[in-house]
Amino acid sequence: MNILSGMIILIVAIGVGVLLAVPFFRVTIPSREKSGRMKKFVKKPLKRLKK
Amino acid sequence: MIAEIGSGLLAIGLVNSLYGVAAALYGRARKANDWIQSARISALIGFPLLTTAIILLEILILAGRYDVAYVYEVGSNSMPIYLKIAALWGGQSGSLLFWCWLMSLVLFIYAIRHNRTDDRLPWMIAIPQFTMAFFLFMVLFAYNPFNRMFIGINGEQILSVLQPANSLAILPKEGVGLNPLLRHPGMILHPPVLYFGFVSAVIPFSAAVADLVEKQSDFGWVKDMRIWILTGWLFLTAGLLLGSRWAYDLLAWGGYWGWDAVEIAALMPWLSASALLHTLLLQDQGARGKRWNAILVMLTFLLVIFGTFITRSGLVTSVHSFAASSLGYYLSSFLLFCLISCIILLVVRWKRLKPVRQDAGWLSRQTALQAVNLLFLGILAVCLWGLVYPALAQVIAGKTIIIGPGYYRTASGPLFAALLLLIGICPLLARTRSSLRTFSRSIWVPAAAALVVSVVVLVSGVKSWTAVLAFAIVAFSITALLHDFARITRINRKNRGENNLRAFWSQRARNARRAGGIVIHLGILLLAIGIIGIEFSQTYIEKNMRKDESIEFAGYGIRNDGFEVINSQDDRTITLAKLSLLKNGRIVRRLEPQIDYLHSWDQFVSIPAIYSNLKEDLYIVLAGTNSGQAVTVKIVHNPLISWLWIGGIVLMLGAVVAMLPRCERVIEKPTMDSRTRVKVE
Repeated sequence: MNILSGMIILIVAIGVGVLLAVPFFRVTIPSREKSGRMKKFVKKPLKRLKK
Repeated sequence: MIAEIGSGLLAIGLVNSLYGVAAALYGRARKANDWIQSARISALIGFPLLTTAIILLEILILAGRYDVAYVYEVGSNSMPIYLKIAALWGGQSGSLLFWCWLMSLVLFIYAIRHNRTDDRLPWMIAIPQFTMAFFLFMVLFAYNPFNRMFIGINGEQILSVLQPANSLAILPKEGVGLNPLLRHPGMILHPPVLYFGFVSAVIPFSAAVADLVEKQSDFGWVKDMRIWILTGWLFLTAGLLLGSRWAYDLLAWGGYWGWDAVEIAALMPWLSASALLHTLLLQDQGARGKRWNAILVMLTFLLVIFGTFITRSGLVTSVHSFAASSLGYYLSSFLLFCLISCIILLVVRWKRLKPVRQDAGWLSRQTALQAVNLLFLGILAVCLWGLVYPALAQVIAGKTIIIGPGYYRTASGPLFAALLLLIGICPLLARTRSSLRTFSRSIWVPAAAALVVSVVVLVSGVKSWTAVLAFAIVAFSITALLHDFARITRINRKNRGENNLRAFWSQRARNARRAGGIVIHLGILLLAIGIIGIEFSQTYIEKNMRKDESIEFAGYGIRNDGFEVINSQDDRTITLAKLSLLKNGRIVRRLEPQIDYLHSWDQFVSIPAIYSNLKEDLYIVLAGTNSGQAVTVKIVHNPLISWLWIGGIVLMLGAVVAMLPRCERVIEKPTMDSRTRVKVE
């Protein structure tokens, strides 16, 4: 088999394998609301409203 | 390199499908959402993988890579581009790959729209993936379109993707090309459309199986799958009509339907899908539809596999079928497996599909729908018997029996007529109970129309009583349908204060299914007019005409102006007859029927010339040429045949209307209350 075609098939197979495995890796994205910058952003208008 | 990559993609596709089946079932068993979602991703991946494989095969065909066996078989330098594209599905292995690709497309559409994990999803992935894995297995190990041709050390031909040791590659400069009968623009549309209709049957089938396995008491697949069933039915209808038109244009026998075994194999899933569309209405109305729906959706899928078996096993000889092959063993095993599984599932869950008690009277729309269902199944039984009986007679008694079109016409004709009559009767009936009095009050308008049409047909010279009866039935049903449509429009106009046009349109918006149904049935009745015309009143003559000789036929004059022979650059020698069609002494059209001789195939193909209008077709076939510019022609007079094609278009438009979403909200004007409420808020 031509090495190039073998490489292409291998890369596609690895790509497919990675895609199939995606649901098993739960990626946790840190919530923006919990970050300090977000807190400031949310709190200020809230304080204003309370006043 | 391209062939190797293509084959590699198919192998990855097969592993991906098998993984999809395993992951879906494992996820279902363990109630593991991540496994089910992984299976869903496998369903999404299959489509781009097979799309790339298809593109690679098409590149090989377009580039004229005749060292690839499939390209050598279906490709040729002399073929125009559109035929080179269509050559993708013109042979056994290419069309199998195309089948898989369409199935991956169908599964892709389903999977992309359903990302929610529910009880049905694992089965909705596992069943189509299993079917696709089976077909991909056949493609990869039995009929790989990427196989190249090699010659072995002993001079034997070897088909393989990779070059075997001690072999030489065969590098032809020209391919055989498509069968001359397939070299027609119809080749572009007819097979893909029909195949799509076939493969889309797998989705409702999977949904029904899922609900049966998961013991869903409401059997709710019907609601979700209506769009799939209707889409599949639309594509099957379009495929059959395109095939009929192709046969009419090219096969030069003056007909549209030859009751050929493969035609019947394609008609059977259409019949069961049509019956299913009617029994779906029964379940909607809370009547006994569950069992019928389960049986019919399974039957449709099984008939698709049966049709594929008939076409690809080489069991029958037809213009449609592929050469005898080992695929028959694979397909019959798969068919048997599916059949047994379906029967077991139905038997186990039979009690759960218990019909809801209903009190519909014998004179009701529900009873009429049951009758429609039985009539469709009756026609299906006629077709199935016609296909199976000769094979049984051969195997059991060793007799060769050929069943011709006469059997199908005689056996199915009255059943089709009864269906046409029910199209007219159904709208006149109430859903659950009609009294004889109200029915007889509503029947007189269509009955009067039928009587008038019968008299007109008799006066116009039609002598066959069967034809008169058929026209009367069609007139009855058309009037009943239009009467029903006008009645609903009138009610809308009164209740909502809409004008006629608006009432007409808003009826579609409020109940797209009903409006679509009316248009579909109207299309079927128009189509029936064409069929009645050709079946009962077709006439023909065969005549040898000297140059400048004229003959009179069906009210037209046909004059022979000679013929010419053209040596075309695309491997054909064309013999072109020049005829003038005369009406009342004036030339209406110049017609040029021809005979093509394909040198590479050593085959003649006759291409008719057709003069067509709403009243009739004059269909002229060149049978041969003689010395002194004389020609032999066969002239066929096909009354009303144009209505067959018009009806087909109307029918498909109706199916599209039925599929449109309801848009009542858009049409309804905001009331005063709602406006004031907004202001207050």
